Order: sequence, then C-alpha cells, then structure tokens
Amino acid sequence: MNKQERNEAQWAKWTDQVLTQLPAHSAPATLAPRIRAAVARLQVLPWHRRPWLQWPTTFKCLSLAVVGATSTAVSYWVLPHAPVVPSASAVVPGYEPAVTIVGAFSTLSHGLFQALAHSGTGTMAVVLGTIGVFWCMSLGLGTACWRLSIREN
Amino acid sequence: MNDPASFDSFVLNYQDMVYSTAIRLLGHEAEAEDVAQEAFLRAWKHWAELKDGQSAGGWLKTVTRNLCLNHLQRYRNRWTLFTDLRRSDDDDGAEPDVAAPDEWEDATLTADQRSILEGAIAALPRDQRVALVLFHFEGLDYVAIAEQLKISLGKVKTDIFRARAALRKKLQPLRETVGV
Repeated sequence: MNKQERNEAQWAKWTDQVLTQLPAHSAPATLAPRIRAAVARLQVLPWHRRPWLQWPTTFKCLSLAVVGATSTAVSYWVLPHAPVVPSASAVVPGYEPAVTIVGAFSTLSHGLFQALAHSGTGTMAVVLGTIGVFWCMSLGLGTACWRLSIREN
Repeated sequence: MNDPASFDSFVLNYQDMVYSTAIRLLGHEAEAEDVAQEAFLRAWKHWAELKDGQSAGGWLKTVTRNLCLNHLQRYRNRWTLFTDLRRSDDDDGAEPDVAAPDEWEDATLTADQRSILEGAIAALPRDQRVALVLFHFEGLDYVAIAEQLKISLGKVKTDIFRARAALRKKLQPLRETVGV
C-alpha cells in the first residue's frame, strides 16, 4: 500500500467515524398524521376501488383469468364463425357503431386468418420480423420522447 | 386483520430512522417525507407478516433505501445534467493533497460540528452524496453500491473519493478543532 492509498484509507476511516456519530434526523411532526390518514384511506376503500396492483392476489389472478377467457372466447367467436359482413337485418337499432367495429374486426381477422393459413414459413418469418422491427422502432421512439420530456422538465 | 394501534407505535418507533435515510439520500425534505410515507404504507400492506418478526426495522430500511433509489433513478437524466454543471463550477479537477489524519480515535463532535457536517453532506453533488451515504450510513460496499445504482465500480469509487475530498475541504476547521 503506497502513501496515497494509506492516506485515503485513513481518511475513509476518519469520515466513517465522524459520520456515524451523526444522530438520526427527527421526522417532521406532520409525518405520523400523514401516515395515519393514508392508512385510514386504505382501510376505507374496498378492494375493487383500489389500484389493480393493490388488489388481493386471488382477485388479481381471477381478473386475469376472466380477461384471458373473455378474449379467447371473443377471438374464437369472431375468427372462423362470424360473418365477414353482418347482414343489415341482423343489426339492432342503436347498435350500428358497435356492429360496424365488430364487422371491421371480423373482416380484418378473417383476412389475417386466411393469410396465415396459406402463407409459407418464409413469408411468415418476414411478416413477423417486420412487425418486430416496427415494434422496436416504436419502443425506441417512445423512449426517446420520454427521456427528452424528463430532461426538459 | 391489521392492528392499527400496534402499527401506530411501529411508525413512531421507526419514523426518525426512515426519514433520516430518505433525507440523506434525497436531500429534499418534501420528497423525503413522501418516500417515508410510501415506505410505511408498504409496511402496512405487509403488516401481518412484519408485526411478529424481529426484522421489521431492517425490512423497512431496505424498502426506504430502494424507494429513494427508484425515485433518484426516475429523475437521473435531470440530476446528472445538474450535478455535472455543479461539478464543473465547483471543482478544478485536481484533488486536494491533504495529509492523512494523525489521530482519529477521539474525534467526538459537538452539536455545532454535527450541524456543519450535515450541511456539508447536504451540499455535496447528488451522485457523490448518494454514494457516500450508501457507503457510510447504509453499510453497503462498493460492489453493492455499483449494483444498486447501476453504475460502474470505478464511478462509485470516484464519487466516494470526491465526496470525502469535498467533505475534508469544508471540514478542515472542524478537523483542527476536533484534533484529528
């Protein structure tokens, strides 16, 4: 150990000795009442009024299962079975926008289904690769915008 | 079911420790209070497991430290920019060549000297202060600090070295008074 390293080690020890003598800061008088109020708010709120991350684990798992099952059922119903264009007589008055959205989704998914069914492995790889590249570009652009906004703030 | 009375006494027992950790790492009173509140709310959510254990204090300290580091990480771009500017203003790049202390066994500080020391720590650039606090107050070693802050080991050593150098520059009168 040379002189400089020995000096630095001694200063480290000195710093440690003086810093560990410092007493804890006193918490502000407002802290405990703030915590009590926040805990009281948590106790009053039923689980379904809290953010999803604070739900009980059982309900979180159940909600994920319900969302997954619903998405699967809707996809199964829309993809191979639904008509590509809903017939005019089948539309209930007042529900035209919803029917239009379902029709568009159905047409798109039907086309996608047909394309998937008749595409070769190479085409699929190109399509998936392109989607991946665009996804990465979007992610990169979003991250750049977010960092710029943080820096500007 | 959580017991509010025992949790309240837990808060009163540990609030100074939590707030001290937060204020030393963040250097901002309002942010430290927010982080302290969040740490205790997390403790409340885990109160069923914590209330009977012996390690509640350690758990709370770790959660507070992680919350502070997450908070700092979130604003890292901003504070890196500012600390770089401050460093270029404050430092001339050369480290002061100060002799090592001859004696340090009897370095007992008075209340005024403690206050000067707290002020000197608070005045450090944020990255230096965080590294110094993690090393000397939180007891982490260089490798653990580098992992926590997601920076290189070299930067941790440099930050702590610079922080000590800045402290000893400001505390030279204190060193002479204390006799170290």
